[in-house]
Amino acid sequence: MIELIGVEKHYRLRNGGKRTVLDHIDAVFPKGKNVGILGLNGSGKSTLMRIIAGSERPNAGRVRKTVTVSWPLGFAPSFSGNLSGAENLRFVSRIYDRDIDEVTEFVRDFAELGRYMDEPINSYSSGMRAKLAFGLSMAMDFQVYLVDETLSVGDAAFQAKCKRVFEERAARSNLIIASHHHSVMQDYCDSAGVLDNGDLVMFDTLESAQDYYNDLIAKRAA
Amino acid sequence: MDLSLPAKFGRQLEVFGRVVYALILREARTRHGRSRIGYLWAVMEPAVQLGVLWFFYELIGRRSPVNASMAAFLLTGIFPFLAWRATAVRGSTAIQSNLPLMVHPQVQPFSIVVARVILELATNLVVWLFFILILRAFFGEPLSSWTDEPLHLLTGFGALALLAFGFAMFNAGMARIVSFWPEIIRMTARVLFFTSGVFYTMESLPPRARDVILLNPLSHVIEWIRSAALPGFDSMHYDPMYVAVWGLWLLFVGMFIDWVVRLTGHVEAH
Repeated sequence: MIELIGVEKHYRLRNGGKRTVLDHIDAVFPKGKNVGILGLNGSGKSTLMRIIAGSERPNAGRVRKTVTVSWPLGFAPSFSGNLSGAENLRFVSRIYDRDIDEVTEFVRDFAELGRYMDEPINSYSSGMRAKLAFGLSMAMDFQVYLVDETLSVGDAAFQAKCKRVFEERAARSNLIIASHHHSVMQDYCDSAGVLDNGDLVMFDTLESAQDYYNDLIAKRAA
Repeated sequence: MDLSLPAKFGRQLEVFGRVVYALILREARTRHGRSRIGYLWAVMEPAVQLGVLWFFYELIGRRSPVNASMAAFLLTGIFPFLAWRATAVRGSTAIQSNLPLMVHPQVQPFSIVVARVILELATNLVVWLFFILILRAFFGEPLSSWTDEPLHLLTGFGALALLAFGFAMFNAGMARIVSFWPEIIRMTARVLFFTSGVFYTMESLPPRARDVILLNPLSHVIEWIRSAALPGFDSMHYDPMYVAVWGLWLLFVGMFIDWVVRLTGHVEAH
């Protein structure tokens, strides 16, 4: 279970003002449920994900976790461009106390990078980086995976593989997916919340969250 | 999941150790490991400094101010200085250059700074030992003088490590508040090369100048290490307490800044 208790986050603006991104959010992500978070661009989805991951601290409130949580997957993996894929894996394996050989073998097999595993990350295409990052997070075997915006990395074959892995893991791993569109959630999520104007409104079903979100978009457009 | 307090602390310590270890290995690869001659630079810089100073002193016919060879005298100044500079400067850039790694919650600013300090001090120590062996092999510099006061020398190293750690932590904190702090440190280091007694003793200075120079804690450390490492040289001008107080204060302020930044949820630019 992941519980957000009175989580607040604001950023200082250059003109000295303050922008509130998350305004006292209380929410529960129960164990065994895959949850989506819908929100327009700039609504604070990424910030929320980083706070759940523990990469960033809230200004107030706290996050209680009884499960292991991944770093937010999707954007900007924390790889060093000068190091090879294999070297980057070693670092992450060490800080999460995983067996380096097992992780390397898993990722070698999963990410299909071949000899590029031993080349510096700088020489990777963005698709290759994403595959490496995705394979690595799978090897870490977290209980909850945070997906920022998209699960689809790589080509159709790789995407099918990712989907298969998640289905195999459904029994022990769950997802929290943040996106501006529900299409990504359709396949995975049991329920969803909508993040808007600093508030996170949780719904029991994906459909009701979707309706609320569509109304929101309609209101914005009007 | 609820652990007793000691168990919790033990677990945190274990994670901390693991992260520092991983950071050191990673940093060692990225710092020098990129090119084949990477670690040669770590040897080149002190070699050039030693060579230039030695050459000029020979040129103006200056003798070693202590009862030890010129090379030994200069080395005991150059190495503490370089070790201090490396940790202070690398400390000031530690957080900014490792920002992406902080996506992993167990990677904390403190662990990043500790890893850098250990790597820099260890690298400098190894290079220093290498120079001592070279001097022994080619210039007949005896090894015994380095080891005849082991405790004295170790406490000198300890003082250097504490001061360097304090500066690194302080600079890391300052750089999170003032973005141009690393530049200030680089500039300060350039000045301190001349005002830390790298190539003169405190005794050789006029009293008024000495009082000013001794405000700089690094000059105490250099006198301390020289007193331990050079036979027949015993300085009465260094104050162990002064160094300790500087080191602990810098450490305290640096950790205080880290604490405030964490408390306010302040985020560095990504």
